[in-house]
Amino acid sequence: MKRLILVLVILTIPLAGCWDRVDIDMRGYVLGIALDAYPPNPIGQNTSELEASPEEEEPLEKMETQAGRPKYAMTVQLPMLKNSQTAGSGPTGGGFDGSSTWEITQIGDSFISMNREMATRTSLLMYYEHLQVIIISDEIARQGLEKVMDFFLRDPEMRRRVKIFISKGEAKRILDVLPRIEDYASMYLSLIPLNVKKTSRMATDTDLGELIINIHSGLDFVLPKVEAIKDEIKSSGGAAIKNGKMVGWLTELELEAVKLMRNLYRGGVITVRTPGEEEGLNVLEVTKAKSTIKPSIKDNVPHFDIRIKVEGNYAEDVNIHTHGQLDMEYIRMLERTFKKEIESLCTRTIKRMQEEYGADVLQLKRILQTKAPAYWKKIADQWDEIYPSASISITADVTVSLLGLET
Amino acid sequence: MITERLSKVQVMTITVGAIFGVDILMVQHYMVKFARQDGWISLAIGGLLSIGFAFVYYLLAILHPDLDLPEIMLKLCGPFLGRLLLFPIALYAVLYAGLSARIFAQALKMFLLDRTPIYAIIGLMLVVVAYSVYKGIYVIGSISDVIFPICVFTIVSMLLMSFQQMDLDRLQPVLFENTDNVVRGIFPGFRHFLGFEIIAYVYCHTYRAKGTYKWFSAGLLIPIIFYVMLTVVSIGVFSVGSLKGLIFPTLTLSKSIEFPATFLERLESFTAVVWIALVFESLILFFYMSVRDFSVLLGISRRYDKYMTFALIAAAYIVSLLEPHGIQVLDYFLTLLSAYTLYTLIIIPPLTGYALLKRRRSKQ
Repeated sequence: MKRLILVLVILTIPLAGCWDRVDIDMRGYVLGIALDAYPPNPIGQNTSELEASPEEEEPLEKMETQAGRPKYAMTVQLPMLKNSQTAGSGPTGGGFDGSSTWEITQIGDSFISMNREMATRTSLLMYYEHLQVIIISDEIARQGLEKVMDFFLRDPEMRRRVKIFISKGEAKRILDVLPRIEDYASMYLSLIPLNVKKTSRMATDTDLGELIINIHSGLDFVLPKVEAIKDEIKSSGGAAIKNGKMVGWLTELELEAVKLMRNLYRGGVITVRTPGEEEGLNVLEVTKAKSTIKPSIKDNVPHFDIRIKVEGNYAEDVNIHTHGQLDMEYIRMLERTFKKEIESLCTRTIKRMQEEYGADVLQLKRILQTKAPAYWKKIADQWDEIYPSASISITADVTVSLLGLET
Repeated sequence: MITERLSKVQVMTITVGAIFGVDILMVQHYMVKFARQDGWISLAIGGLLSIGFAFVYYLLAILHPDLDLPEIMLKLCGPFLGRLLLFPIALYAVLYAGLSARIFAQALKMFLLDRTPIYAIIGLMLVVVAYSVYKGIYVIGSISDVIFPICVFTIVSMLLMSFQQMDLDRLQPVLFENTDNVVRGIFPGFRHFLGFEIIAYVYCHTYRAKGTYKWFSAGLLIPIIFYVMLTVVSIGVFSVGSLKGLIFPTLTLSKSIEFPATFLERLESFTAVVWIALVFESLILFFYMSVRDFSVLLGISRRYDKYMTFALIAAAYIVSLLEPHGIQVLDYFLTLLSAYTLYTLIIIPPLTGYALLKRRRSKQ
């Protein structure tokens, strides 16, 4: 009996709680982070009724820096759980009006110090385990992504599957959106890429982990572009990243081409002009797309043969009448037209990437590293000079499988 | 179930438990540092070589079925030389337990218990370890029976869930102008499989039934397969460049698995439970070895050797907290593994050869 009592007494010690216990209402669950340059670049800066914090808040956003000069503005979006059932979200700068989110901006030199400085403005303990998105302004992206990513990789609370976006203009504006469907702008933005099987105009596989793998491997890549108005966010097109720095934007169609060539295409539609019809359009809904890139070396010059195999269903025609006329001959003609369009789009995109940006977003460098390592060893130091003039051929093969409910 | 003797299956589970340790959290990082994308090949070769060396221990054990390693050493080398040769082995087990407890506490602090002091994490773990060792080898056998299936299930699940994120191109080119590095990586690969020497401590507690060696072989193969698979998957998921910068890739891997269901967002909390169990078992077994080593070294009889546990726990606790720099602890750990591997490679095969010779002479 005495022994039992002793065991029970000892058991009360661990029941008293642990060092890491934090009450749920004391945590500030950071859902989204926006990174902006400070002071913002006045040239080309978008203005919006949403973009600025109330003037009286600005002194609170600044902090005394210890070593560096304030270069960045970090905004975190916190859900105000007690208000989330009753109110919409929005930029209120404090949640005092019953808003469901609070966007806190801090200006500083390092992200951990900005994060800690926020503790002087809120009783909540910032918690990043449920972080959904990191939005980086194009200005910061052009300065170099690696410069600002260390905190997000080193901190144990961060997750490698956090989605990364590049905003055109101020990143904070994206978090300020009042979404119509979701409660929080961050959640809204993080869910948009789930539609990647429906549209090819959004970038895929662009989370923190992939971003850093690409940077550490010295590869160029594409990150999704994001824009916003007061109550809506749009993610389409992309930012071309070369040597860790943004070098320019990819249009929606260019992104589609890159995805087709890099085997990242998950679904979407391709539209062509009907041959012989001035206004006619034919639309293919792509159900499957697969590409292979084969390198070959001739006379010490690399050549890349890209083959794209596309399968899809005939989805729509516009401005023409095809009811009852879709026979095999017409399908063959459509397949040839889609093939030409894909080849043309890809060729245009490659040309722009090579000549305008010099960005190897198809990661041909990696193809050489893995498939032709002996050659790569010889030219590794000269790749940036070789790439813009590398010979690339595109061959597409399109199969129209189904026609919908009509012939 | 506590049995009078360890079963053949327990030989397997104990061997797996002793080999698995904190290495499982970081083996990929070190292999990639040595041999880049071919690190898994070095690890596989090192693992296969470790099987050969493990059977040297096995042979030594079956030649002396009633004795464990420290007793065998004293019997073969005499009381003075035996003790002299045994001392580094005894010291290794305590240092290993202390350093691996510290590394694990560091990992746990990073991923789960960020505000719990390291001394508390290590202290609590060592108290439980001490209690298990105090209860004896049959309790340890039962613990390994419980932990083994949970660990296998979790590691297999984690590997399966990580496959979808793998990019096989990241494993290429295979062996292209990298053979030297692969060869250089074999010894570091080998040292991650230390722990197989447990057979020389537990064989005298088994039924010594025919076919025990098959279960021992299974116990050696399982960690090799899992370590190699973890390395392959980690290279495929993270790429060589990123893997070189990750201190605990296995934990990062469990953190990288994406679930559409948000309630499973913190999967690593579940997997951490398994790592705790794995390291816990490994610590128990190393403590058991050190208790036996020091007991024989100091001439303490089996009846009282369990009291040695408490003295060694205190020693391991001090070892674990001595070095303030986390990165230095990792260096010490690897240096310790290398030194011990070299030492045993020099000592154990001649000892086994001598035992064989002695046996042959006695038969004649």
